[in-house]
Amino acid sequence: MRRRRLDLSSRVLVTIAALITSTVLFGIFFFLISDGVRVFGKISFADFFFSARWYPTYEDAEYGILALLSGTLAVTGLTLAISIPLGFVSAIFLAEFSHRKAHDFLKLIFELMAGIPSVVLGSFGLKYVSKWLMEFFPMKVWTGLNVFNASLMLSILAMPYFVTLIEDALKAVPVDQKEASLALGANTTSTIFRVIIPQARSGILNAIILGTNRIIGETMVVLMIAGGATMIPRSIFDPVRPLTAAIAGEMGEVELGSTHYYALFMIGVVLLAISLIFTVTAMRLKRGMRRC
Amino acid sequence: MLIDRITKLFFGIISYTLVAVILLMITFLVVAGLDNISLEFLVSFPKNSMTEGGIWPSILGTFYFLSIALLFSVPVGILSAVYLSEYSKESRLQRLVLTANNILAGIPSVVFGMFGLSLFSITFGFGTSIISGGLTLGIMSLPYIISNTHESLTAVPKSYREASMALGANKAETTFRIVVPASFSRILTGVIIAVGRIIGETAPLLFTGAAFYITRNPSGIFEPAMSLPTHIFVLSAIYPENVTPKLEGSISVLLIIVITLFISVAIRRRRESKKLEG
Repeated sequence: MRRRRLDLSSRVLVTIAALITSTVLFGIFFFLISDGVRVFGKISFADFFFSARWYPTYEDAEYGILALLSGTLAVTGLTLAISIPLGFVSAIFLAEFSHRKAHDFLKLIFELMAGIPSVVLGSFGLKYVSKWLMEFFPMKVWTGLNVFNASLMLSILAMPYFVTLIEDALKAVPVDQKEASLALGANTTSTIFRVIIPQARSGILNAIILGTNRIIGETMVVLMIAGGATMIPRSIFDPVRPLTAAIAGEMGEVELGSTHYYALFMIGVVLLAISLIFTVTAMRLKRGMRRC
Repeated sequence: MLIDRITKLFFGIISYTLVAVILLMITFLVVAGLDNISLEFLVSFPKNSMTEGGIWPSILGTFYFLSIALLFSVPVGILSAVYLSEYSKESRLQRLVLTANNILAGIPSVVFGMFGLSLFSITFGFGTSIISGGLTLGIMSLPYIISNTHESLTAVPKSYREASMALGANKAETTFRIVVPASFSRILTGVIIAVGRIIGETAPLLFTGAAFYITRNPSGIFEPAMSLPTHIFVLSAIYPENVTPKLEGSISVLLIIVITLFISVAIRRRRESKKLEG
Protein backbone atom coordinates (compact mmCIF):
# COMPACT_ATOMS: atom_id res chain seq x y z
CA MET A 1 0.00 0.00 0.00
CA ARG A 2 2.66 2.46 1.07
CA ARG A 3 4.73 1.69 -1.98
CA ARG A 4 1.80 2.30 -4.27
CA ARG A 5 0.96 5.56 -2.59
CA LEU A 6 4.56 6.74 -2.98
CA ASP A 7 4.48 5.72 -6.61
CA LEU A 8 1.34 7.70 -7.22
CA SER A 9 2.47 10.77 -5.28
CA SER A 10 5.75 10.98 -7.17
CA ARG A 11 3.83 10.84 -10.43
CA VAL A 12 1.73 13.76 -9.22
CA LEU A 13 4.83 15.63 -8.04
CA VAL A 14 6.71 15.49 -11.33
CA THR A 15 3.57 16.44 -13.26
CA ILE A 16 3.13 19.47 -11.03
CA ALA A 17 6.75 20.50 -11.67
CA ALA A 18 6.20 20.14 -15.40
CA LEU A 19 3.05 22.23 -15.15
CA ILE A 20 4.91 24.94 -13.21
CA THR A 21 7.52 25.14 -15.97
CA SER A 22 4.94 25.63 -18.68
CA THR A 23 2.92 28.04 -16.54
CA VAL A 24 6.01 30.21 -16.08
CA LEU A 25 6.21 30.68 -19.84
CA PHE A 26 2.56 31.68 -20.11
CA GLY A 27 2.97 33.91 -17.06
CA ILE A 28 5.81 35.80 -18.73
CA PHE A 29 3.73 36.39 -21.86
CA PHE A 30 0.68 37.35 -19.81
CA PHE A 31 2.40 39.85 -17.52
CA LEU A 32 4.42 41.53 -20.25
CA ILE A 33 1.63 41.78 -22.78
CA SER A 34 -1.04 42.90 -20.31
CA ASP A 35 1.16 45.79 -19.14
CA GLY A 36 2.67 46.46 -22.55
CA VAL A 37 -0.52 46.93 -24.57
CA ARG A 38 -1.70 49.66 -22.22
CA VAL A 39 0.78 52.02 -23.83
CA PHE A 40 -1.48 52.12 -26.88
CA GLY A 41 -4.14 53.84 -24.82
CA LYS A 42 -1.87 56.91 -24.82
CA ILE A 43 0.28 56.52 -27.90
CA SER A 44 -0.72 55.38 -31.36
CA PHE A 45 0.66 52.17 -32.75
CA ALA A 46 2.40 54.04 -35.59
CA ASP A 47 4.01 56.59 -33.25
CA PHE A 48 5.42 53.82 -31.09
CA PHE A 49 6.91 51.71 -33.86
CA PHE A 50 7.72 54.24 -36.60
CA SER A 51 8.89 57.31 -34.74
CA ALA A 52 12.58 57.64 -33.87
CA ARG A 53 11.90 60.09 -31.07
CA TRP A 54 12.31 58.45 -27.65
CA TYR A 55 12.15 61.27 -25.10
CA PRO A 56 10.30 59.77 -22.11
CA THR A 57 11.45 62.37 -19.59
CA TYR A 58 10.62 65.51 -21.59
CA GLU A 59 7.65 67.67 -20.72
CA ASP A 60 5.97 66.57 -23.97
CA ALA A 61 7.19 63.00 -23.68
CA GLU A 62 7.60 60.99 -26.87
CA TYR A 63 7.84 57.22 -27.10
CA GLY A 64 9.03 56.13 -30.55
CA ILE A 65 11.28 53.09 -30.56
CA LEU A 66 12.65 53.27 -34.11
CA ALA A 67 15.99 54.73 -32.97
CA LEU A 68 16.29 52.10 -30.22
CA LEU A 69 15.48 49.37 -32.72
CA SER A 70 18.09 50.71 -35.14
CA GLY A 71 20.60 50.67 -32.27
CA THR A 72 19.86 47.01 -31.64
CA LEU A 73 20.18 46.25 -35.36
CA ALA A 74 23.47 48.13 -35.70
CA VAL A 75 25.09 46.48 -32.70
CA THR A 76 23.78 43.02 -33.60
CA GLY A 77 24.85 43.33 -37.25
CA LEU A 78 28.39 44.40 -36.46
CA THR A 79 28.73 41.74 -33.75
CA LEU A 80 27.66 39.06 -36.21
CA ALA A 81 30.09 40.40 -38.81
CA ILE A 82 32.93 40.02 -36.30
CA SER A 83 31.97 36.85 -34.48
CA ILE A 84 30.57 34.59 -37.19
CA PRO A 85 33.70 34.46 -39.42
CA LEU A 86 36.01 34.08 -36.41
CA GLY A 87 33.74 31.51 -34.77
CA PHE A 88 33.45 29.61 -38.03
CA VAL A 89 37.22 29.43 -38.55
CA SER A 90 37.78 28.28 -34.96
CA ALA A 91 35.02 25.68 -35.21
CA ILE A 92 36.53 24.23 -38.40
CA PHE A 93 39.96 24.17 -36.78
CA LEU A 94 38.55 22.41 -33.69
CA ALA A 95 36.49 19.89 -35.63
CA GLU A 96 38.89 19.01 -38.45
CA PHE A 97 42.48 20.05 -37.77
CA SER A 98 43.25 19.96 -34.05
CA HIS A 99 44.68 17.01 -32.19
CA ARG A 100 43.18 15.88 -28.95
CA LYS A 101 45.35 17.94 -26.58
CA ALA A 102 45.09 21.14 -28.60
CA HIS A 103 41.37 20.54 -28.96
CA ASP A 104 40.87 20.13 -25.21
CA PHE A 105 42.90 23.26 -24.45
CA LEU A 106 41.10 25.47 -26.96
CA LYS A 107 37.76 24.13 -25.88
CA LEU A 108 38.55 24.92 -22.24
CA ILE A 109 39.37 28.53 -23.09
CA PHE A 110 36.17 28.88 -25.11
CA GLU A 111 34.20 27.47 -22.17
CA LEU A 112 35.82 30.02 -19.86
CA MET A 113 35.07 32.74 -22.38
CA ALA A 114 31.41 31.76 -22.27
CA GLY A 115 31.48 32.10 -18.49
CA ILE A 116 32.72 35.70 -18.31
CA PRO A 117 29.87 37.70 -16.77
CA SER A 118 28.60 40.34 -19.19
CA VAL A 119 28.96 43.08 -16.59
CA VAL A 120 32.71 42.40 -16.49
CA LEU A 121 32.93 42.83 -20.26
CA GLY A 122 30.86 45.99 -19.95
CA SER A 123 33.23 47.33 -17.34
CA PHE A 124 36.27 46.39 -19.44
CA GLY A 125 34.83 48.17 -22.47
CA LEU A 126 33.92 51.20 -20.41
CA LYS A 127 37.19 51.63 -18.53
CA TYR A 128 39.78 50.44 -21.05
CA VAL A 129 38.55 49.77 -24.61
CA SER A 130 36.85 53.17 -24.87
CA LYS A 131 40.16 54.90 -24.08
CA TRP A 132 42.10 52.73 -26.53
CA LEU A 133 39.58 53.54 -29.26
CA MET A 134 39.99 57.27 -28.65
CA GLU A 135 43.76 56.96 -28.95
CA PHE A 136 43.62 54.65 -31.96
CA PHE A 137 41.18 56.54 -34.15
CA PRO A 138 41.47 60.12 -32.87
CA MET A 139 40.04 61.61 -36.05
CA LYS A 140 36.90 59.49 -36.38
CA VAL A 141 35.87 58.82 -32.82
CA TRP A 142 34.12 61.46 -30.78
CA THR A 143 33.11 59.09 -28.02
CA GLY A 144 34.71 55.84 -26.93
CA LEU A 145 31.29 54.45 -26.08
CA ASN A 146 29.80 53.46 -29.43
CA VAL A 147 28.52 50.68 -31.67
CA PHE A 148 32.02 49.42 -32.43
CA ASN A 149 33.10 49.10 -28.80
CA ALA A 150 29.86 47.35 -27.81
CA SER A 151 30.12 44.97 -30.76
CA LEU A 152 33.71 44.05 -29.88
CA MET A 153 32.70 43.10 -26.34
CA LEU A 154 29.52 41.35 -27.49
CA SER A 155 31.61 39.30 -29.90
CA ILE A 156 33.49 37.88 -26.92
CA LEU A 157 30.16 36.73 -25.52
CA ALA A 158 28.82 35.39 -28.81
CA MET A 159 31.93 33.69 -30.14
CA PRO A 160 32.07 30.66 -27.82
CA TYR A 161 28.43 30.06 -28.62
CA PHE A 162 29.10 30.02 -32.35
CA VAL A 163 32.24 27.90 -31.97
CA THR A 164 30.51 25.22 -29.90
CA LEU A 165 27.32 24.99 -31.96
CA ILE A 166 29.06 25.11 -35.36
CA GLU A 167 31.60 22.51 -34.25
CA ASP A 168 28.73 20.24 -33.17
CA ALA A 169 27.06 20.76 -36.55
CA LEU A 170 30.27 19.88 -38.41
CA LYS A 171 30.85 16.81 -36.27
CA ALA A 172 27.30 15.60 -36.86
CA VAL A 173 28.07 15.02 -40.55
CA PRO A 174 28.47 11.23 -41.02
CA VAL A 175 32.14 10.29 -41.21
CA ASP A 176 31.63 8.09 -44.29
CA GLN A 177 30.78 11.19 -46.34
CA LYS A 178 34.15 12.62 -45.47
CA GLU A 179 35.93 9.33 -46.09
CA ALA A 180 34.22 8.90 -49.46
CA SER A 181 35.39 12.35 -50.52
CA LEU A 182 38.95 11.68 -49.36
CA ALA A 183 38.96 8.27 -51.06
CA LEU A 184 38.01 9.95 -54.34
CA GLY A 185 41.22 11.92 -54.07
CA ALA A 186 39.90 15.23 -52.74
CA ASN A 187 42.12 16.98 -50.22
CA THR A 188 40.96 17.81 -46.70
CA THR A 189 40.41 21.49 -47.47
CA SER A 190 38.06 20.90 -50.37
CA THR A 191 36.38 18.08 -48.47
CA ILE A 192 35.58 20.52 -45.70
CA PHE A 193 34.27 23.24 -47.99
CA ARG A 194 32.55 21.08 -50.62
CA VAL A 195 31.27 18.13 -48.56
CA ILE A 196 31.16 18.78 -44.83
CA ILE A 197 29.99 22.40 -44.69
CA PRO A 198 27.21 21.95 -47.28
CA GLN A 199 25.96 18.91 -45.36
CA ALA A 200 26.08 20.75 -42.05
CA ARG A 201 24.38 23.89 -43.34
CA SER A 202 21.11 23.54 -41.47
CA GLY A 203 23.02 22.95 -38.23
CA ILE A 204 25.16 25.99 -38.95
CA LEU A 205 22.10 28.08 -39.72
CA ASN A 206 20.60 26.87 -36.44
CA ALA A 207 23.75 28.02 -34.61
CA ILE A 208 23.57 31.44 -36.25
CA ILE A 209 19.89 31.87 -35.34
CA LEU A 210 20.42 30.93 -31.68
CA GLY A 211 23.54 33.09 -31.42
CA THR A 212 21.81 36.09 -32.98
CA ASN A 213 18.96 35.72 -30.51
CA ARG A 214 21.42 35.90 -27.64
CA ILE A 215 23.16 38.96 -29.00
CA ILE A 216 19.87 40.83 -29.41
CA GLY A 217 18.90 40.06 -25.81
CA GLU A 218 22.24 40.93 -24.22
CA THR A 219 21.81 43.85 -21.87
CA MET A 220 24.71 44.86 -19.66
CA VAL A 221 27.29 45.31 -22.40
CA VAL A 222 25.10 47.61 -24.47
CA LEU A 223 23.81 49.43 -21.40
CA MET A 224 27.34 50.27 -20.32
CA ILE A 225 29.21 50.86 -23.57
CA ALA A 226 26.89 51.42 -26.53
CA GLY A 227 26.80 55.12 -25.63
CA GLY A 228 23.15 55.56 -24.69
CA ALA A 229 22.28 58.19 -27.33
CA THR A 230 18.82 57.93 -28.85
CA MET A 231 19.78 58.36 -32.49
CA ILE A 232 19.86 56.40 -35.70
CA PRO A 233 23.56 55.63 -36.18
CA ARG A 234 25.33 56.76 -39.35
CA SER A 235 28.69 55.18 -38.61
CA ILE A 236 29.99 52.37 -36.44
CA PHE A 237 31.54 55.01 -34.17
CA ASP A 238 28.19 56.59 -33.31
CA PRO A 239 26.67 55.99 -29.87
CA VAL A 240 23.33 54.15 -29.76
CA ARG A 241 20.74 53.03 -27.24
CA PRO A 242 19.57 49.49 -28.03
CA LEU A 243 16.19 48.18 -26.81
CA THR A 244 17.60 46.20 -23.89
CA ALA A 245 19.69 49.17 -22.72
CA ALA A 246 16.61 51.39 -22.65
CA ILE A 247 14.76 48.90 -20.44
CA ALA A 248 17.63 48.27 -18.03
CA GLY A 249 18.62 51.93 -17.87
CA GLU A 250 15.16 53.38 -17.31
CA MET A 251 13.18 50.70 -15.49
CA GLY A 252 14.75 51.53 -12.15
CA GLU A 253 13.55 55.13 -12.11
CA VAL A 254 10.23 54.92 -13.88
CA GLU A 255 6.98 55.66 -12.07
CA LEU A 256 4.78 52.56 -11.81
CA GLY A 257 1.72 52.73 -14.04
CA SER A 258 2.98 55.70 -16.06
CA THR A 259 3.00 55.77 -19.86
CA HIS A 260 6.78 55.40 -19.72
CA TYR A 261 6.40 52.25 -17.63
CA TYR A 262 3.97 50.70 -20.12
CA ALA A 263 6.17 51.77 -23.03
CA LEU A 264 9.12 49.92 -21.48
CA PHE A 265 6.94 46.84 -21.08
CA MET A 266 5.93 47.10 -24.73
CA ILE A 267 9.63 47.07 -25.61
CA GLY A 268 9.84 43.91 -23.49
CA VAL A 269 7.03 42.44 -25.59
CA VAL A 270 8.96 43.30 -28.76
CA LEU A 271 12.04 41.51 -27.38
CA LEU A 272 9.88 38.58 -26.34
CA ALA A 273 8.38 38.36 -29.84
CA ILE A 274 11.83 38.48 -31.46
CA SER A 275 13.18 35.69 -29.25
CA LEU A 276 10.02 33.61 -29.80
CA ILE A 277 10.38 33.85 -33.58
CA PHE A 278 14.09 32.97 -33.48
CA THR A 279 13.63 30.03 -31.09
CA VAL A 280 10.68 28.55 -32.96
CA THR A 281 12.53 28.88 -36.29
CA ALA A 282 15.54 27.11 -34.77
CA MET A 283 13.31 24.34 -33.40
CA ARG A 284 11.64 23.83 -36.80
CA LEU A 285 15.02 23.66 -38.44
CA LYS A 286 16.24 21.09 -35.95
CA ARG A 287 13.18 18.92 -36.42
CA GLY A 288 13.71 19.07 -40.19
CA MET A 289 17.31 18.01 -39.68
CA ARG A 290 16.30 14.94 -37.74
CA ARG A 291 13.79 13.90 -40.34
CA CYS A 292 16.27 13.59 -43.21
CA MET B 1 49.02 18.17 -49.32
CA LEU B 2 50.29 21.72 -49.36
CA ILE B 3 46.87 23.34 -49.48
CA ASP B 4 45.78 21.40 -46.38
CA ARG B 5 48.86 22.52 -44.51
CA ILE B 6 48.21 26.13 -45.47
CA THR B 7 44.56 25.90 -44.38
CA LYS B 8 45.52 24.29 -41.10
CA LEU B 9 48.22 26.91 -40.42
CA PHE B 10 45.94 29.80 -41.34
CA PHE B 11 42.96 28.56 -39.31
CA GLY B 12 45.25 27.60 -36.43
CA ILE B 13 46.83 31.05 -36.28
CA ILE B 14 43.40 32.70 -36.15
CA SER B 15 42.09 30.34 -33.47
CA TYR B 16 45.15 30.59 -31.26
CA THR B 17 45.35 34.37 -31.62
CA LEU B 18 41.74 34.64 -30.58
CA VAL B 19 42.28 32.41 -27.57
CA ALA B 20 45.46 34.30 -26.64
CA VAL B 21 43.64 37.65 -26.71
CA ILE B 22 40.91 36.29 -24.44
CA LEU B 23 43.40 34.74 -22.02
CA LEU B 24 45.31 38.02 -21.95
CA MET B 25 42.16 39.97 -21.17
CA ILE B 26 41.07 37.61 -18.39
CA THR B 27 44.55 37.57 -16.86
CA PHE B 28 44.77 41.36 -17.11
CA LEU B 29 41.44 41.79 -15.31
CA VAL B 30 42.25 39.26 -12.58
CA VAL B 31 45.77 40.61 -11.96
CA ALA B 32 44.72 44.29 -12.05
CA GLY B 33 42.58 43.73 -8.98
CA LEU B 34 44.81 41.40 -6.98
CA ASP B 35 46.65 44.24 -5.23
CA ASN B 36 43.36 45.60 -3.96
CA ILE B 37 42.15 42.34 -2.50
CA SER B 38 42.85 41.85 1.16
CA LEU B 39 41.02 40.18 4.00
CA GLU B 40 39.73 43.59 5.00
CA PHE B 41 38.44 44.23 1.45
CA LEU B 42 36.52 40.95 1.53
CA VAL B 43 34.90 41.31 4.94
CA SER B 44 34.15 45.02 5.41
CA PHE B 45 31.35 47.30 4.31
CA PRO B 46 31.94 50.03 1.73
CA LYS B 47 32.64 53.42 3.28
CA ASN B 48 33.05 57.03 2.22
CA SER B 49 31.04 56.95 -1.06
CA MET B 50 32.53 53.59 -1.99
CA THR B 51 36.10 54.88 -2.03
CA GLU B 52 37.04 52.90 1.09
CA GLY B 53 36.07 49.64 2.71
CA GLY B 54 35.15 46.46 0.94
CA ILE B 55 32.62 44.22 -0.69
CA TRP B 56 31.31 42.09 2.18
CA PRO B 57 27.62 42.98 1.64
CA SER B 58 27.92 42.19 -2.09
CA ILE B 59 29.41 38.77 -1.41
CA LEU B 60 26.73 38.03 1.16
CA GLY B 61 24.00 39.40 -1.12
CA THR B 62 25.17 37.28 -4.06
CA PHE B 63 24.93 34.28 -1.76
CA TYR B 64 21.37 35.20 -0.66
CA PHE B 65 20.13 35.68 -4.23
CA LEU B 66 21.81 32.45 -5.29
CA SER B 67 20.26 30.43 -2.44
CA ILE B 68 16.72 31.59 -3.19
CA ALA B 69 17.22 31.01 -6.91
CA LEU B 70 18.48 27.45 -6.41
CA LEU B 71 15.77 26.68 -3.87
CA PHE B 72 13.29 27.27 -6.68
CA SER B 73 15.08 26.10 -9.80
CA VAL B 74 16.78 22.91 -8.58
CA PRO B 75 13.67 21.03 -7.39
CA VAL B 76 11.33 22.35 -10.10
CA GLY B 77 13.95 21.92 -12.81
CA ILE B 78 15.03 18.40 -11.86
CA LEU B 79 11.46 17.17 -11.36
CA SER B 80 10.37 18.69 -14.68
CA ALA B 81 13.22 16.89 -16.39
CA VAL B 82 12.27 13.65 -14.62
CA TYR B 83 8.77 14.15 -15.96
CA LEU B 84 10.09 14.68 -19.47
CA SER B 85 12.35 11.66 -19.58
CA GLU B 86 10.60 9.13 -17.30
CA TYR B 87 6.92 9.91 -16.92
CA SER B 88 5.71 11.22 -20.23
CA LYS B 89 5.33 9.31 -23.40
CA GLU B 90 4.88 11.50 -26.46
CA SER B 91 1.97 13.29 -24.79
CA ARG B 92 0.69 16.80 -25.41
CA LEU B 93 1.97 17.97 -22.05
CA GLN B 94 5.42 16.61 -22.85
CA ARG B 95 5.58 18.55 -26.10
CA LEU B 96 4.31 21.63 -24.32
CA VAL B 97 6.96 21.40 -21.59
CA LEU B 98 9.75 20.76 -24.11
CA THR B 99 8.66 23.72 -26.22
CA ALA B 100 8.21 25.94 -23.16
CA ASN B 101 11.71 25.04 -22.01
CA ASN B 102 13.25 25.86 -25.39
CA ILE B 103 11.46 29.20 -25.56
CA LEU B 104 12.39 30.07 -21.97
CA ALA B 105 16.04 29.37 -22.78
CA GLY B 106 15.94 32.00 -25.53
CA ILE B 107 14.25 34.81 -23.60
CA PRO B 108 16.62 37.70 -22.75
CA SER B 109 17.49 37.99 -19.07
CA VAL B 110 16.22 41.57 -18.91
CA VAL B 111 12.75 40.32 -19.91
CA PHE B 112 12.85 37.88 -16.99
CA GLY B 113 13.64 40.94 -14.89
CA MET B 114 10.49 42.72 -16.09
CA PHE B 115 8.42 39.63 -15.37
CA GLY B 116 9.92 39.43 -11.88
CA LEU B 117 9.19 43.10 -11.30
CA SER B 118 5.60 42.73 -12.43
CA LEU B 119 4.84 39.45 -10.64
CA PHE B 120 6.96 39.33 -7.49
CA SER B 121 7.67 42.99 -6.73
CA ILE B 122 4.28 44.45 -7.65
CA THR B 123 1.56 41.76 -7.82
CA PHE B 124 2.85 39.80 -4.81
CA GLY B 125 3.99 42.99 -3.11
CA PHE B 126 7.52 41.79 -2.34
CA GLY B 127 8.99 45.09 -3.58
CA THR B 128 12.66 45.34 -4.43
CA SER B 129 13.93 42.51 -2.30
CA ILE B 130 16.10 39.44 -1.99
CA ILE B 131 13.12 37.19 -2.59
CA SER B 132 11.95 39.04 -5.74
CA GLY B 133 15.46 39.04 -7.20
CA GLY B 134 16.20 35.46 -6.14
CA LEU B 135 12.99 34.04 -7.59
CA THR B 136 13.54 35.99 -10.82
CA LEU B 137 17.02 34.48 -11.15
CA GLY B 138 15.57 31.08 -10.26
CA ILE B 139 13.08 31.25 -13.11
CA MET B 140 15.79 32.47 -15.46
CA SER B 141 18.02 29.50 -14.62
CA LEU B 142 15.22 26.91 -14.91
CA PRO B 143 15.89 26.03 -18.59
CA TYR B 144 19.62 25.40 -17.93
CA ILE B 145 18.78 22.88 -15.25
CA ILE B 146 15.95 21.21 -17.18
CA SER B 147 17.91 20.81 -20.42
CA ASN B 148 20.96 19.46 -18.70
CA THR B 149 19.10 17.09 -16.36
CA HIS B 150 16.94 15.86 -19.22
CA GLU B 151 20.06 15.08 -21.23
CA SER B 152 21.69 13.30 -18.28
CA LEU B 153 18.62 11.17 -17.60
CA THR B 154 18.20 10.12 -21.22
CA ALA B 155 21.86 9.04 -21.22
CA VAL B 156 21.12 6.39 -18.56
CA PRO B 157 20.89 3.03 -20.43
CA LYS B 158 17.45 1.51 -20.78
CA SER B 159 18.71 -1.75 -19.28
CA TYR B 160 19.00 -0.06 -15.86
CA ARG B 161 15.28 0.66 -15.85
CA GLU B 162 14.35 -2.77 -17.18
CA ALA B 163 16.50 -4.55 -14.61
CA SER B 164 14.95 -2.56 -11.78
CA MET B 165 11.41 -3.14 -13.02
CA ALA B 166 12.13 -6.83 -13.48
CA LEU B 167 13.13 -7.05 -9.83
CA GLY B 168 9.70 -5.77 -8.89
CA ALA B 169 10.43 -2.09 -8.26
CA ASN B 170 7.73 0.32 -9.29
CA LYS B 171 8.16 3.44 -11.42
CA ALA B 172 8.95 5.81 -8.55
CA GLU B 173 11.50 3.43 -7.01
CA THR B 174 13.14 2.86 -10.38
CA THR B 175 13.29 6.57 -11.13
CA PHE B 176 14.47 7.92 -7.80
CA ARG B 177 16.61 5.02 -6.58
CA ILE B 178 18.19 3.90 -9.85
CA VAL B 179 17.94 6.39 -12.71
CA VAL B 180 18.47 9.68 -10.87
CA PRO B 181 21.38 8.39 -8.72
CA ALA B 182 23.02 6.93 -11.86
CA SER B 183 23.08 10.36 -13.48
CA PHE B 184 23.67 12.32 -10.29
CA SER B 185 27.15 13.51 -11.22
CA ARG B 186 26.02 14.91 -14.58
CA ILE B 187 22.99 16.58 -13.02
CA LEU B 188 25.31 18.24 -10.51
CA THR B 189 27.47 19.54 -13.37
CA GLY B 190 24.38 21.20 -14.80
CA VAL B 191 23.59 22.79 -11.45
CA ILE B 192 27.14 24.18 -11.24
CA ILE B 193 26.71 25.75 -14.69
CA ALA B 194 23.46 27.33 -13.50
CA VAL B 195 25.27 28.64 -10.39
CA GLY B 196 27.90 30.25 -12.63
CA ARG B 197 25.21 31.95 -14.70
CA ILE B 198 23.22 33.14 -11.68
CA ILE B 199 26.29 34.56 -9.95
CA GLY B 200 27.26 36.65 -12.96
CA GLU B 201 23.77 37.86 -13.86
CA THR B 202 23.13 41.57 -13.48
CA ALA B 203 20.30 43.01 -15.55
CA PRO B 204 17.27 41.32 -13.92
CA LEU B 205 18.54 42.23 -10.46
CA LEU B 206 18.79 45.95 -11.26
CA PHE B 207 15.07 46.45 -10.77
CA THR B 208 13.96 43.43 -8.75
CA GLY B 209 16.39 43.06 -5.89
CA ALA B 210 19.50 45.19 -5.98
CA ALA B 211 20.48 47.84 -3.49
CA PHE B 212 23.30 50.04 -4.76
CA TYR B 213 24.78 51.01 -1.43
CA ILE B 214 23.93 49.63 1.99
CA THR B 215 25.73 50.05 5.25
CA ARG B 216 24.17 47.23 7.22
CA ASN B 217 23.07 43.74 6.43
CA PRO B 218 19.50 43.18 5.20
CA SER B 219 17.42 41.91 8.10
CA GLY B 220 15.31 39.52 6.05
CA ILE B 221 14.43 38.31 2.59
CA PHE B 222 12.00 41.16 2.03
CA GLU B 223 14.78 43.74 1.92
CA PRO B 224 17.03 44.52 -1.04
CA ALA B 225 20.68 43.44 -1.03
CA MET B 226 23.84 44.27 -2.93
CA SER B 227 25.36 41.69 -5.26
CA LEU B 228 28.80 41.43 -6.83
CA PRO B 229 27.79 42.01 -10.46
CA THR B 230 25.44 44.91 -9.67
CA HIS B 231 28.19 46.35 -7.46
CA ILE B 232 30.57 46.20 -10.44
CA PHE B 233 27.97 47.90 -12.60
CA VAL B 234 27.41 50.65 -10.07
CA LEU B 235 31.13 51.23 -9.49
CA SER B 236 31.96 51.42 -13.18
CA ALA B 237 28.95 53.25 -14.58
CA ILE B 238 27.70 55.50 -11.79
CA TYR B 239 30.55 56.40 -9.44
CA PRO B 240 33.50 58.61 -10.50
CA GLU B 241 37.05 57.48 -11.27
CA ASN B 242 38.20 57.51 -7.63
CA VAL B 243 36.55 54.14 -6.92
CA THR B 244 38.61 52.36 -9.61
CA PRO B 245 40.76 50.34 -7.15
CA LYS B 246 37.59 48.98 -5.55
CA LEU B 247 36.16 48.24 -8.99
CA GLU B 248 39.26 46.33 -10.06
CA GLY B 249 39.21 44.34 -6.84
CA SER B 250 35.52 43.44 -7.25
CA ILE B 251 36.02 42.32 -10.86
CA SER B 252 38.93 40.18 -9.76
CA VAL B 253 36.91 38.47 -7.04
CA LEU B 254 33.93 37.79 -9.35
CA LEU B 255 36.17 36.45 -12.12
CA ILE B 256 38.06 34.16 -9.74
CA ILE B 257 34.76 32.70 -8.47
CA VAL B 258 33.31 32.21 -11.96
CA ILE B 259 36.52 30.81 -13.47
CA THR B 260 36.83 28.31 -10.62
CA LEU B 261 33.27 27.15 -11.25
CA PHE B 262 33.74 26.77 -15.00
CA ILE B 263 37.09 24.99 -14.68
CA SER B 264 35.48 22.53 -12.28
CA VAL B 265 32.72 21.99 -14.85
CA ALA B 266 35.31 21.35 -17.57
CA ILE B 267 37.15 18.85 -15.37
CA ARG B 268 33.94 17.04 -14.44
CA ARG B 269 32.85 16.86 -18.09
CA ARG B 270 36.16 15.39 -19.14
CA ARG B 271 35.95 12.79 -16.39
CA GLU B 272 32.40 11.90 -17.41
CA SER B 273 33.27 11.51 -21.09
CA LYS B 274 36.23 9.29 -20.14
CA LYS B 275 33.91 7.15 -18.03
CA LEU B 276 31.61 6.73 -21.02
CA GLU B 277 34.47 5.66 -23.26
CA GLY B 278 35.36 3.12 -20.58
